[in-house]
Amino acid sequence: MRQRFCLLLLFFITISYASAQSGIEKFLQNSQVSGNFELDGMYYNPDSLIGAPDVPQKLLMNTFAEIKYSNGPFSAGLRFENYLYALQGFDPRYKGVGIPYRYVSFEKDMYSITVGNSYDQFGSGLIYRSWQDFALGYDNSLDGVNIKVKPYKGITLKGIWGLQRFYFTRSPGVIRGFDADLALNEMFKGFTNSDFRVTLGGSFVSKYQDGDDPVYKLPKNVGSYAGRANFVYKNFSISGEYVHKINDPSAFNNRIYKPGNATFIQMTYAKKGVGVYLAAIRTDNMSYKTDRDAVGNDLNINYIPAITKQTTYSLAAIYPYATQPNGEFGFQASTTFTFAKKSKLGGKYGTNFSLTYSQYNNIEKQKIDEFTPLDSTGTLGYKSNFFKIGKEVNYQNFNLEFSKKLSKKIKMILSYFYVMYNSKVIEGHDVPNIHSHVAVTDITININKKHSLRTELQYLYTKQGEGSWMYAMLEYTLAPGWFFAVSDQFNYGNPSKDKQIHYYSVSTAYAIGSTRISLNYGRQRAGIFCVGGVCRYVPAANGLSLTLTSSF
Amino acid sequence: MKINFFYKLLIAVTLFSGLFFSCDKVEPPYMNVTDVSDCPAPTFPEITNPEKTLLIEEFTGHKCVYCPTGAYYIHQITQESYGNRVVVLAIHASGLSVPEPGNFNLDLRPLQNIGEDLYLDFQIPAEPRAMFNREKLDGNSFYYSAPDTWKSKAEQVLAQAPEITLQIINDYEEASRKLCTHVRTKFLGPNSQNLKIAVFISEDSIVGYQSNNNSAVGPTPEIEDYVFMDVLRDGFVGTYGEVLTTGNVSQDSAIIRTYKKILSPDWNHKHCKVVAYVYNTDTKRILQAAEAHVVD
Repeated sequence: MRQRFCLLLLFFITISYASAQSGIEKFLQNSQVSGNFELDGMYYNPDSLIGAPDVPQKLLMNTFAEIKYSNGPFSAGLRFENYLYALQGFDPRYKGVGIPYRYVSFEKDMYSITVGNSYDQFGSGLIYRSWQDFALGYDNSLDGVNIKVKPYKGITLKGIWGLQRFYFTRSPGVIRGFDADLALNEMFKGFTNSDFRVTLGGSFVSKYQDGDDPVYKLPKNVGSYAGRANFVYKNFSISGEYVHKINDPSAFNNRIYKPGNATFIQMTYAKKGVGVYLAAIRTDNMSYKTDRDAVGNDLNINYIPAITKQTTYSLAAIYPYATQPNGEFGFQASTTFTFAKKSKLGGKYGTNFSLTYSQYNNIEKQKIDEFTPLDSTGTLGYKSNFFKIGKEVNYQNFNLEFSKKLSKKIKMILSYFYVMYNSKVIEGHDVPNIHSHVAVTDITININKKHSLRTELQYLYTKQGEGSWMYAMLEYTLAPGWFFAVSDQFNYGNPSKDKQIHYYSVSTAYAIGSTRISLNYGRQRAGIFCVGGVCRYVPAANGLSLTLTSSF
Repeated sequence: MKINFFYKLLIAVTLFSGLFFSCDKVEPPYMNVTDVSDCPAPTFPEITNPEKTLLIEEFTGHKCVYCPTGAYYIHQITQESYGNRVVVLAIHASGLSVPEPGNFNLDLRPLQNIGEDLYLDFQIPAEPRAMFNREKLDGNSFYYSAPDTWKSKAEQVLAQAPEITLQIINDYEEASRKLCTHVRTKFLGPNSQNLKIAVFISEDSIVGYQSNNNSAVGPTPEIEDYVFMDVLRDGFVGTYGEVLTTGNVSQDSAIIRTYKKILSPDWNHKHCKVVAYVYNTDTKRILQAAEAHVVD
């Protein structure tokens, strides 16, 4: 009897083990792990000539490693971050080591649920956007719950609820939000194949922050709502979004109680050889943060895009535009022409030509009554006519770009930029507006499959600010892995003779597979670094920097 | 299928519909009215020989290299024979007053954004700049640079005849740090101006680092143990104060206003003062100013 029982037990254990073994194998087969890593370190030399300070730690470093695990409908991830200490120019509140980003997500047919940190946006982001940019030192991920439901074809509903990441802590205020997106052509069978496509959407976001103030009556719940529409007909599309926010007195808006609003309209047209883009944006008291005492880029709930020409050419990017959530009106008109190969204007290899103009003004403001100065704390602040544009010009940018392949081996880009930069509005420095003209020549020579050379020659002319600049850069690429570059930015036109400085730089990089290591030695000028209108100040630096990136 | 779709939609919308009620619309007035019933009004003595008083609003910053020179000349003015006829508010505002890690970590900027409000309203281009009762003494500008000329500006204002008198009586409870401030305005002649009264807290004897480029007034480039005086800290009624009168007021009329504030633990009450002034809302000109220590 005892033997039988033992045999039976052994049988069940064997079966269970085999079954578990097959389950584990299946589980492991479905598992996927991916990740990426980045290290940015710099050894700083003091350089009084360019104003680079003596960094007590000498060596500073920003590092992150992100790991994602997925298995069928389930996924989870985390990001380890290390700022000991953060590179110069990054907010010193990035200090320490930790895992400020982690999440678990489950996705089924009609819904997905994410708990932990998530990135998302409603519409164009004017009402809600959580995003991250490591180079900018920006991260406002939502730490809470993010639910997406697709109850029917063409309908997407989103709900969010949580706190925002704030360096290595969290925001004092909570965000609650709901968004609905309706793709009408998918919802109604008769319109599925129509050339006329319509998408409608609406959002509601509310923040809650506790706290009483002896002076101000504070709204603890600040709600905002948005409506949007997108129409597409063949090659033409037009989209728009309007956001309204109720009273939200904060340190950013000088504690005024005026409701805020923003409007963003975009139009595109494209046909063979021609592309046109028109955009306009108006914001009026639309800083929206989870902490009423936050300033700068801290704890933004929404995102105001900058509709100016984005460029990587260093002299053309010296004077970038930083969006002004308290009030601005901007527009951009851009057109591109592609002349086909072997046509009269295209030549043997084709030609591209683009033209862009953008401008930002302030909004028109009127006093609320004859006794109260504009923007007075504890009042409605000001009145503004939606259809009147302010007289002060914040920024202008005109760009011409001509791109042509001259031969099988040589490609050339010629660019001209005119930039008008209002320092008083953008940086708060009461100095004359800067009018700069920038010419760029960018030539790439593919010597053969292994060797290529690229050179950039740039010239910036201005009588204001730091005066005129010249820039030269030569890059040599030895495929598949090596890269070498030398460059110099020379501020030859600085009105102060002792600031007519060379900002030289030597760099090399080696890539193997998805891993790249690069070294750079040289000077970096002080300036403003922006991503889509969100900016941070970069101080002058001199030293050796190392960047290591890898992914798997 | 249709029922299923609407069922799902209903659940989703119901889940989030509560958000639509998550709004707190604030109705005016937007600022709290302080209950001063526990601050009984005292009896003010009559001023028998009224004189014009001057408020010097000095825009400064601890990273401003020229500012110790400005403070030096203001000190010269207050030490002259004007007695207590000169009141000073040192307004730390703009980028040169923003604290930073290291030596310049002191935050001397006033609360409620008062410094930035005034800096922007009067379009101050740089520091140091001083205003003298907000009088356009040269016909153009509210503010003046060149500290060595400030004394003559002060004398110009002090030579004027007073239109009102201003008196302050403070009542401070050390245990609770509650400060009751009573301000009496008496009209020396009939008045038809629109007037506001603004009341602030200032603090003396704060020690910290100050940039400096004038070896005659202290070590350069930094003074380690600089003593900041008359630092504007906070306002009882925001930046612009409250309406005192918008109509005709007859001669010898008097208005007493009472204010209350709990002093911040960051301030040394023994070095704190209350500064009050009355100004014309149309011209911004200050008619009279007064100051009184929180603790005698």
